[in-house]
Amino acid sequence: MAMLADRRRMNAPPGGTSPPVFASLPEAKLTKPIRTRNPDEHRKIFLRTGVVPSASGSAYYEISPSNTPRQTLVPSSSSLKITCTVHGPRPLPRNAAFSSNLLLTTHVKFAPFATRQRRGYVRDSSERDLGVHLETALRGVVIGDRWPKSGCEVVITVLEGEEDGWWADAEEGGKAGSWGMMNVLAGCITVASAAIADAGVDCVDLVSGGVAALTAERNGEGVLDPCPSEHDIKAACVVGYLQSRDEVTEMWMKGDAGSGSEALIDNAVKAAVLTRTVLAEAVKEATEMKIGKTSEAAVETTNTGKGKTKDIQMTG
Amino acid sequence: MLRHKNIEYDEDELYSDEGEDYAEEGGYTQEDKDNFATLTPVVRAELDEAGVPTTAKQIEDALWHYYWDVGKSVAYLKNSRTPREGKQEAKKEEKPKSKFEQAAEKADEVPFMTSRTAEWFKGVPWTNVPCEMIGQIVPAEPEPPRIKLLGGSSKLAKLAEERRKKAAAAAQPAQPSETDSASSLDRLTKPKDVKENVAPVPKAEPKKYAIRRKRSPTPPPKAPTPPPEEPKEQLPSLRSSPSAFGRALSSSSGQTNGTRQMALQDLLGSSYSSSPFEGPSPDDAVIQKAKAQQASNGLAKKTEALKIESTPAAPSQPKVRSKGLDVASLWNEEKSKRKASAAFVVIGHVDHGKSTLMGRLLLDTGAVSQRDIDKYKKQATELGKASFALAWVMDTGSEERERGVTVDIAQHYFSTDNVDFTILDAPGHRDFVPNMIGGASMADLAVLVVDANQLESGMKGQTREHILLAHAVGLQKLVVAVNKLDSTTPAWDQEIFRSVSAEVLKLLKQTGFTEENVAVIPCSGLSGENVAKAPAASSGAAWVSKEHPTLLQQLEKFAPHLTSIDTVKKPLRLQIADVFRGGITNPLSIAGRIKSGNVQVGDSVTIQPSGETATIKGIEVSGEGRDWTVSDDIPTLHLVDIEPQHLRSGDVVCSSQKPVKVVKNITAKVQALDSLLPQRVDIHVGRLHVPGGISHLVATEDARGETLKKKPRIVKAGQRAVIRLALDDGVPLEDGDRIVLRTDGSTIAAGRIEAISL
Repeated sequence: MAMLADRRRMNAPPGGTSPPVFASLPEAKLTKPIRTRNPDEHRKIFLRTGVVPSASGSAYYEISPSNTPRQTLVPSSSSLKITCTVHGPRPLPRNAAFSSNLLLTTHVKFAPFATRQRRGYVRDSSERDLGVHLETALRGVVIGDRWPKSGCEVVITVLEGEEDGWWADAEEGGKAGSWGMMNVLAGCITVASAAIADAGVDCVDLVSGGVAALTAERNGEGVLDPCPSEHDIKAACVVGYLQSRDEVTEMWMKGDAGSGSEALIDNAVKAAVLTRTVLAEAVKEATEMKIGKTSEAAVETTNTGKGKTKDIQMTG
Repeated sequence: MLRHKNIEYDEDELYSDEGEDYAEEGGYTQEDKDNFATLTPVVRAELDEAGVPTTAKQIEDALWHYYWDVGKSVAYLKNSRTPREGKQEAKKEEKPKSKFEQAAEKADEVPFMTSRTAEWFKGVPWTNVPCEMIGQIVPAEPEPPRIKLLGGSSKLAKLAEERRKKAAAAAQPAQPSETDSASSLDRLTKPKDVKENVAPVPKAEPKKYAIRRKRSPTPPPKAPTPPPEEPKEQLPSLRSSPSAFGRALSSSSGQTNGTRQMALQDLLGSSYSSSPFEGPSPDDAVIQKAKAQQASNGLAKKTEALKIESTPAAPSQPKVRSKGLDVASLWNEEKSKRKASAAFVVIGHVDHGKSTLMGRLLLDTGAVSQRDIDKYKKQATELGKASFALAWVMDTGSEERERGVTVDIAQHYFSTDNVDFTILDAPGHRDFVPNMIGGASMADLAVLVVDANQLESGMKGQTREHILLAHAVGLQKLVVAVNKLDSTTPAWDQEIFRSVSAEVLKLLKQTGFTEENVAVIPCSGLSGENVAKAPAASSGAAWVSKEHPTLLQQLEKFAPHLTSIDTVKKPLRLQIADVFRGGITNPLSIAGRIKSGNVQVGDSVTIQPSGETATIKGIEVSGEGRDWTVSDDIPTLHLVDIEPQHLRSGDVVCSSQKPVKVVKNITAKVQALDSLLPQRVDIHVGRLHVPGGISHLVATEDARGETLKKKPRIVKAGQRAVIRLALDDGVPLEDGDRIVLRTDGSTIAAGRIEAISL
């Protein structure tokens, strides 16, 4: 048995552990959370770049958790937390084939604890799928031909994922389809854009992700930034949107939108415009901080340089 | 605490070899002193005029270094003495610092140990160093590593304070950003203006959010109108403060590690232009120049004219169209109208007169003109081989003619009133038996030529082997031509003929030929009696015409053979006997006998074992163009769409729908002519011969096909056996193909393939 244990990872203790059981108050009744925001209101976002010093660029994105009073210890809805690191642009390995463009690779990985259903250590199909979506979203933004013979890796770790439904009705929530993926992808696009900007990779614009959904309740009206635990989603759409160029680099629609698909996309673009405000602010703030630092450093060098130079010029 | 010495480029160091030339301070010569005395007041006067205070020592130094040049000394002293001011500063800036200087400067800042330790320790005693000279070495305190991620509560408190400070700073009026790059960031927050060429979409009602602008499918060209005022959109602030986790993760990024790095820019100098790629690159400039030159001298036009047309030229050879004929039924209809055709192979021992007999046959049937024969005769006489003139009809190669020996099979056509014949003249020499096998496998019947005078040599030699091989490749009808009866002593001796024919018949019977399929004809190839024409009644050969038909009559009698419609309908199989250049119009042609099936012009065929496909461009049978041909013909096929290296004699041309398999292992039922062991053999299949080996002796059998012994150790001569063969290379073979096994130049077994396996 010992031989079978995986020695490359931190393994669980050999003895059994007993998971904690959180008893809820007896009078607490589990109720499905209801959306308190307006249909066209986005949840608050926190975004910051430069969180990982060793990477060329990095960003952290989180949707702030709802602070509604709750009776149980379990939060009624999850709050998305994503980190992104960008490595590169760096030269391709010697044995790689020549490429005149920047080779962009994306990895999206859920942390094992990110969702209620534990994730494996190896990327599964849904994660790889997200990676492909993200790559399409970013490929349209990055100016690849400025970086020949180089590669750039965008590595995304989802620390806390969005749930696919309300956790209490696990059977239905599981069946409802992986709506949470849409929110995760939108977050991934936004955070990757910030990290790429932080890494200094040339881009045509900032790409921001936005989600919108058609819900069953309230006459099937469209909502921005749906929280899957609060809605009965019929169809949802993610876009990667470049606001200043008015372009969509990536679109993923799921479910049956029927005739409302056009409106759904418009809503998703609206959501992307909203997230863009945060993205632009974060990037601007980070850049200002950097500029301040470099100008300080520049002043320092000029000061130190002055004292030394006592060059006598010989004429004639 | 680190001290370092500033290294100066001291001339003393550099030119220490010339130290003698240098007078030490105070060691001035009398002449120098005189110069000082005269020039110093002059310099001083000029400096006083400029208001530069100097000492006498400085002036002397300057004069010394400038070799008594007053003007230069004054200028130097002025420069060094006057306080630097604006103009001078600017002047100095104009001269760009060299890279080397800048690097040296930079290096100055970075402390490093000089290698010239002697200088460093100059004047330091070895022992008892005075205490004021002792340097104190204090370890540089490394910065404690910052804790980035998970801080304690105290850390959080610190962070909170930081935030408060920040908020206070934000409360103050934000000063305008001092750099362009920072202000350009503002553009991120607002979308770009609508471009002029895009028709602005009039907005009916003010929308709360900017939505994706829909582009109308065909924007009507409009005069550029001033874009209508876009309603100012007020986007709600979505920014939130981080959660506890997010704060812990991201807060440390505010501080950067303070290590200053030496950038490449520092090393290479700071004189960079803000837009280095604005103008054309040096390469572009050169190319532009070259282009301009080219245009001026008209070279461009010439090169333009030289250009090859990029559009693909029409294929030089028009694609061969198949007429899509139903060859089998056509053949069936025409069967009654056509003359019979037959191919016969001439076999026999070397120098028994095979080629000469065939030459005679061709001459007498009119296929070769007397003029050609006369020409050959003249040429042959020059070589001293007058009797070979007829053989030269068949032996066309120069080597064949010089040596008087047939090397490769030759193919000729002639026709009588009833039958079209194809002659395959096989070589008789033992070295060329493989060629003989190839020729024999293409024939319908055989003509065995026996020299009446040299029966014994033939029986020991190739007459015997050829009879065996002819039987082995499946020939059943055989005409024995007892040749050279004109040179027997006496000529046309009936007794000699009788004894020869008896002996040959005995051998044929042993080999397996039936009596009705064998005919013995006395003849003479050189003089031509009883070949095509019966001998004159007056000659000594008069007896011949009473008992025997002529050779040609006998051939006509044997000629008709039946080609069944089934064979014609089978998929095409043709073993290539020869690959040659058919002419300018037909650069690639092959010849061979169609074993089964049919082929027509335009058909696509597969060549095995190469697996390449080719298209039939033309078909010739007996020197005449045809649209199609069927099995048992020996056509010449003109091929296109294939490279010559894929074609070798022995390859099989087969229909692309049902190509023949390329196999390496075969099981065969053979008649042993010599004892067989598991050994290396050459396997001959018609024109093809490949090296291989007998891998198993499966069983020996009796004449009725019943197993005598399984797994025999040896198969004795004369026994029938089932053996397994392993070929070295893949070979296109099929069940029923006749094979001949040879080793060391002698035939050891012959038989046919029972089963094939890859």
